[in-house]
Amino acid sequence: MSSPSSTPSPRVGDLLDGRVALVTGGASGIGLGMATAMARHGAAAVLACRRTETGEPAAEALRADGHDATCVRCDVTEPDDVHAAVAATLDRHGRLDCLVHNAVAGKASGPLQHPSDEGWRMLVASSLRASFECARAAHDALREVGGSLVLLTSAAGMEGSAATPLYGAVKAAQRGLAKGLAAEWGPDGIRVNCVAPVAHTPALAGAIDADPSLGERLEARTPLGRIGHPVDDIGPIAVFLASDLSRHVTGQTLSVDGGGFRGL
Amino acid sequence: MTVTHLVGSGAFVDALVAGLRALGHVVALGDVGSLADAKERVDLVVHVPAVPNEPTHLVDLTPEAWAAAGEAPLDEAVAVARAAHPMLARGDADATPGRLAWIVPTTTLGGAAGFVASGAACEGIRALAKGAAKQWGTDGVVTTVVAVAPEAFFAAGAGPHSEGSLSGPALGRTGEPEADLAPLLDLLVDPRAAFSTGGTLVADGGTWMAP
Repeated sequence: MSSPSSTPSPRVGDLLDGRVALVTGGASGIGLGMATAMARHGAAAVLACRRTETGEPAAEALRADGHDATCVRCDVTEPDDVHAAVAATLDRHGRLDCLVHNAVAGKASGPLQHPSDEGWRMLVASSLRASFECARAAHDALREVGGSLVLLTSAAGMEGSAATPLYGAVKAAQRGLAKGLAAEWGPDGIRVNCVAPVAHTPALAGAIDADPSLGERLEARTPLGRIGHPVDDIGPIAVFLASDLSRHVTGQTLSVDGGGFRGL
Repeated sequence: MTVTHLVGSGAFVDALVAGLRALGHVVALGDVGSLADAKERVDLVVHVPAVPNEPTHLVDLTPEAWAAAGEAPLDEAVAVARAAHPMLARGDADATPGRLAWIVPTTTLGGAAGFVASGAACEGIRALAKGAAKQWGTDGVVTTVVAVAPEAFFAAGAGPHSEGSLSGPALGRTGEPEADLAPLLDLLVDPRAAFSTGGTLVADGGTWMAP
């Protein structure tokens, strides 16, 4: 069963008028879905992408729909890139209201007793260390506007994963970071939350190619009966977390997976 | 006779060792390297991650300090798991499984200001314990995370306190590693506890009761 596809739409609301959102891994998948949804509600979207050859066309497509969107090159495993992406956003727009750290790289599946050291290092660098750098880089700007930091996590970080235990560990570590930071940054007026999505993305397509029954298994465990759409199902959560609708929500993990994980 | 390896250091760990020895455990205390060098069958491996007991706000952390508090404990937990597996795994499905346990402060469950990095690492460890439980259950390895009151985990007067609680511990005290926590670890290697794996057991006298 496939999810309904999003149709181009220049504008669906004004919840984020005048606001600026920076999304890492914004060229495709969930990152682009979140950026698109926020742009449709009036936000200026900055797509932070490791490869501008994919990020620029994504930004151009958003602009063609009438949105304010730009691409900035950013390898989140390079701290200087993260800080430069935030600086470029501030240079262009003068503010940053929401930073979504979505990018992840590295693979650490297989037997836990024989992990890929390289895969583990990349997972930690792209998920955990990059969360730290994103937070550090964005703090002052987010404090200025009472902004929102959003980290992408996974059900694997809450229920553990037999197939990818190390992926689950770093995703859980991001949740731990968010919970502590919510306590620490609350007095600054900054909200910090996590989103645990399941959606049709290039990454999921690759996983299903490698494991053809995965899609059916995911749908079977999902009460709503389908895998989410990055724009229409996952995007609204980014809009919510970037907007005043969530002004009293911090330190939480929102599972956006059709009800697949209900353990919190 | 229960053979236990403890990976960690400090007053909390020393008290645990004393408590376990009083209960008849043969305890080896060391680091990951000494665990990896051990050849004998082990019943229980306990990792107590080294986390800072002084608060530092995230924006004041250097990348090096972040790595030491937010990544190194998780790296070490992975290394402990890898080293422990061959000593804990049982070839006999009817044998009592070997148990791999981590001890973390309960403040990591709810998050604490000033302890963002160590909270991240400890939450990562909790998911690692779940993944290891799922992957190694049929190898005869079971896992547990024991979450203890920060007042017990950290040296007196240091570390975060149970700031998220609106009331004190139900039992009126936060627990002593030797008298309260070592017996719990001993219980976890009892064959009657063998069917529990992957969970977080809160042992803080009844302060943290969230799911």
